Amino acid sequence: MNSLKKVGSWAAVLALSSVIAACATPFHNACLDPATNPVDEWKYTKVKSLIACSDAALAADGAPVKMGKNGGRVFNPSALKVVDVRKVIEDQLAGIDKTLRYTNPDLLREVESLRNFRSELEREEGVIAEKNRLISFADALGTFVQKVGPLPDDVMDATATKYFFPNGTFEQYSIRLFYKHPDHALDGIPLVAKYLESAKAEQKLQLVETFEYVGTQELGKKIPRLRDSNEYDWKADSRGLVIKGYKIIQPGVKPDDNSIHYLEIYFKRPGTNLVESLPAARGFLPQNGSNVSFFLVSFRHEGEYGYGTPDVVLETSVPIRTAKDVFTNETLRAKFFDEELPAYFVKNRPERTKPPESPFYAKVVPIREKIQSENWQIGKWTVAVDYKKLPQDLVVQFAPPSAPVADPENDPKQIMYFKREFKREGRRVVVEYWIPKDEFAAGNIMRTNTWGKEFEVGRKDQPTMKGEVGYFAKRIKHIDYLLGDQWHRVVDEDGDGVFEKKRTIGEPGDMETHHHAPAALDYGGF
Amino acid sequence: MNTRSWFVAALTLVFWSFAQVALAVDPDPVFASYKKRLPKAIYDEVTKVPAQPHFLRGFKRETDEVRQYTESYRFFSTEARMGTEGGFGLIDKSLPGYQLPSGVTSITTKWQYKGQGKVVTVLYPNHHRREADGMYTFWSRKWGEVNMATYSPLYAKYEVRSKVMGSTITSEQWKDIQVLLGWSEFKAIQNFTEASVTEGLEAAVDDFGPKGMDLTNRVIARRSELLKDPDYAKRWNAKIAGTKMTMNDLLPVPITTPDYFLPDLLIVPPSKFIGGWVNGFKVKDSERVMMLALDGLAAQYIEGFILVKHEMTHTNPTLQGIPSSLYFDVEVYAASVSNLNEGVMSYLLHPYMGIYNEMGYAYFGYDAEAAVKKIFPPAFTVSNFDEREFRKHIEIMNVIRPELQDLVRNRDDGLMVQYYTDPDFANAVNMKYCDTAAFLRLAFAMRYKPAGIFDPTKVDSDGKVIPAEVQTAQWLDQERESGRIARLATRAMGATGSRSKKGDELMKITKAEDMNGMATCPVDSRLFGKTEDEIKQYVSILNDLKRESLAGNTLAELLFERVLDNSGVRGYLSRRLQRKE
Repeated sequence: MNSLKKVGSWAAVLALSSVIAACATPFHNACLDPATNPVDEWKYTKVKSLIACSDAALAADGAPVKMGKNGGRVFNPSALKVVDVRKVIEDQLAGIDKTLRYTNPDLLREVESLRNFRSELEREEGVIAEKNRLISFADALGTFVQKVGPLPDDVMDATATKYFFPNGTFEQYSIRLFYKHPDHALDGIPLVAKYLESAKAEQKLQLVETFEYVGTQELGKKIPRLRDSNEYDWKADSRGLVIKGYKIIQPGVKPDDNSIHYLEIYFKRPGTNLVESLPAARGFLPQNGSNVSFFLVSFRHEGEYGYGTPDVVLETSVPIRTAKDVFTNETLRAKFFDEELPAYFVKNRPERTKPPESPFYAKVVPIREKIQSENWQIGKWTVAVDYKKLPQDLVVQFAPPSAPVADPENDPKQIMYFKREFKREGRRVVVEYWIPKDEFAAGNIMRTNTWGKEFEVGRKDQPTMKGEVGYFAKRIKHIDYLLGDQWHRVVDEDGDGVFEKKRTIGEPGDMETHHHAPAALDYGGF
Repeated sequence: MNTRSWFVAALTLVFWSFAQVALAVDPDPVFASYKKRLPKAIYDEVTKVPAQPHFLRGFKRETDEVRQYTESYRFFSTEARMGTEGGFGLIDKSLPGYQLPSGVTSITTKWQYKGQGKVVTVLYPNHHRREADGMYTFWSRKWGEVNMATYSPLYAKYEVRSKVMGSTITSEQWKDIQVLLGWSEFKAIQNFTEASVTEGLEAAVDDFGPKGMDLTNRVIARRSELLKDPDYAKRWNAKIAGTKMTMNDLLPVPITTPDYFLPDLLIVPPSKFIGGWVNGFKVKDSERVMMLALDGLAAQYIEGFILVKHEMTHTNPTLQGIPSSLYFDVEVYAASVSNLNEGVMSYLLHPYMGIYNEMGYAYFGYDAEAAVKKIFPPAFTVSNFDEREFRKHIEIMNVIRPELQDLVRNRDDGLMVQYYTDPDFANAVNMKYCDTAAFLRLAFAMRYKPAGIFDPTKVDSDGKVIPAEVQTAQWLDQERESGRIARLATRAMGATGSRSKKGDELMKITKAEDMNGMATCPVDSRLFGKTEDEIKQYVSILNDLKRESLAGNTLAELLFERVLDNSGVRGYLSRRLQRKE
């Protein structure tokens, strides 16, 4: 084989690599395939198909070309839509994020093998995020005009508007969108609706509703741990917000209903009762619509670069009659407040935070060695959930017999715990473990049963007795409770009424793991 | 401009100056004691650095394209003189700079272009200085450890002299001589490497810089117009208030000064792979690693194909940094500047020229595939090479080359200046057509009238043969008028970006189970045109690579990783590799 051919073959291997990374069809091949297909319309020879497909690329809908001076064609950036370019920028952001995550071990090795790569790419991510903000703003302008209606004339006539959108439409791409011109700012173009501006001018825009919410959700967010996705932490989520509803009515006139024509959602500054100066979201009436359903939403908080510019537009289909609907309607609340933010907005995400390095070690533990595997936190603990009013099941838990018994049904048993299991939506959330009084702790129990909130206990040669747990048990030994997805146990070892130890536990075992009276006897209920 | 003769002149000049330097100064302070122990005449003779590395003796830079081909054929047919297929080397990157682990004797040097600017660490993984006796050695799996002194034509002379009865050369002196001869031989390789890098660097700076495309200034000038800002030239790198960014971050300007083309680490293995390699993951100030195989540099020396310039196009982060580089075909762009300078063989055979081959066929009527078949007719037992036919194609290339060079390099509307003026636009075009070469294809199509259809038997009413451009225009007009082109465009655009069967097939071959069936644009149209046979060939080469990787060939492993890039395929196969199946 000659040498140059050899270069070719090696190089082909390298070149082919990029094809593997994707299996989408390029235009060129999407064209050649039908063009040369002997049973399709065209039936071109190879060279004819190449000529035709090249010509078709120029003739395709939205081809980024226009006629030039000498009769030929030239590139025409404004033939591309803002959204076409936005797609690329978003793709870049997603690609960078994927590269920088600590979650793909193969990619990670590659990234970490190059000096300064991570820090420089993180920097680049900031740059692309800013480009994304600018192009998203332009995109929002276009969508806004299309959905809500034209901007006021003075905005359309402003030099900044004309600079960034020289063709008079917001849909066409221009390199100027990414330029910080000394005299014009893209994000300085006010995104205001004509209907609101005229209502304001005529003093018809009235604030008719203010909804305020302050809340802290202890278990607001579940954050999986990087090393093992089965483990996770919970992060409290606190939010304070004010939603303002406006209505267009003649001043002094009593409205027929309380439906609104414009709304604003403000976030409170973290840890304060002060409201941020600009709304995080603004809701508008769409053209020909009677309910607020078009929203400009910003993810940025006061003090952050680009604060106040919309990052996304949202359209809702659930009718919004009043301002507080946004918060009280589950669908709307999910859309506005519970959606995940785009990755690049979230600082210190676990998948982007370098996990502490796992130390290599070799530890030899002989089987005879005793280890303390329980990890108790010492303190004064209480059950972190309110449960006393929840429905409960009663359970009697017997101690395992010390030796096999010949007739388990009729052999006397020893009670280990009286248990009260509290349930929320059918699921156990709290289990109390009561120690029996001495007279019920002897191994002489023949029968047990539960009725509502009461136990029945029959000792050997004694009549059956009936009563609430306090009648048979002297005190609570420990309580298991579920917080988020995690079970915890608090223990009162010495009986002083204080739970002095706490640790996380697995889900408390159900009755199958214990020796106990037959199910029909064990379980009472309502 | 006859670029080739310029390159040859440059290369000769560089070699000449190295030779002078080597003669004029002490080779190395380390050798001061050797100098004392050896007679002056002997010392001077054995420390004279040869003008060429041992593996290139008997070769020269060829200017005739046939000779370029036959001489490189000779070189690679006798490549045993290169020594090895290897590319071994150990480096400890947990330490600052590029240090070697304890006991590793590979030679590293520091190099700066013209003694200033960026310091490049050069690692010669297979060339060593032995700890025990200071000998320069070359390691290969084929021959083991070879004393580099034996490469010197003087070796035999001194060996004989040291062994004859009553010799004036003691055995200690003979050892000294071997060390110095080995040094001279290594120095010849080092000089050759540095001269080749210099040649490539200067070619890159000249092509992209003010002497050539003048990208920095042209991009600024064109943008200044588009942005309607006469002061853009003053502002293009200004800080953006309230951020840590500059204007140059948002709208990057390509920079073509030497430091931007140079890597931090240059690895120079002997290698069977006739080429170079550069890490694709790079942003402006991140680490850049380049591999240039000595046999690739030898090909550059003989044929004048500036391999180093090609790799340096890749290395420059302002030309091919991510994320932008993921949206155009970096190989075709680099080859547009490197290969289009070269001979017809490069145009016809190099896969990076695939798009030019297709477009050249459609627009100029030059059928590269048929040309290759004509130049290399079938033959028994030997490769058949038709020299007279080949020379005809050199002439055709002389017509095509300046056109394509202008398409790429024109300062006003060349591919490069257009791409770098508004890369976001160009990337979005590639995305729209789901093709990393769409922007290039369109640039080509807008420049020429197609002339690909030619039937020499078609004559007009006067009996004259109808020229190709007329025949093509007649056919194309007809197709346009009938609406068939418009229908084809609609059909093609409708299918663009959808999952493709061919992509799926390729993935099946490489067992990419973990790709999740994701279809992502833009992709590489150049490779979608591959036939089943070519794909089979590709897989067989991939298997070879895999086998060599398993056998411990680190270069093969490196290539293997490069081939499979960062796709799921790579992860899958490298995991398999680690299991040593």
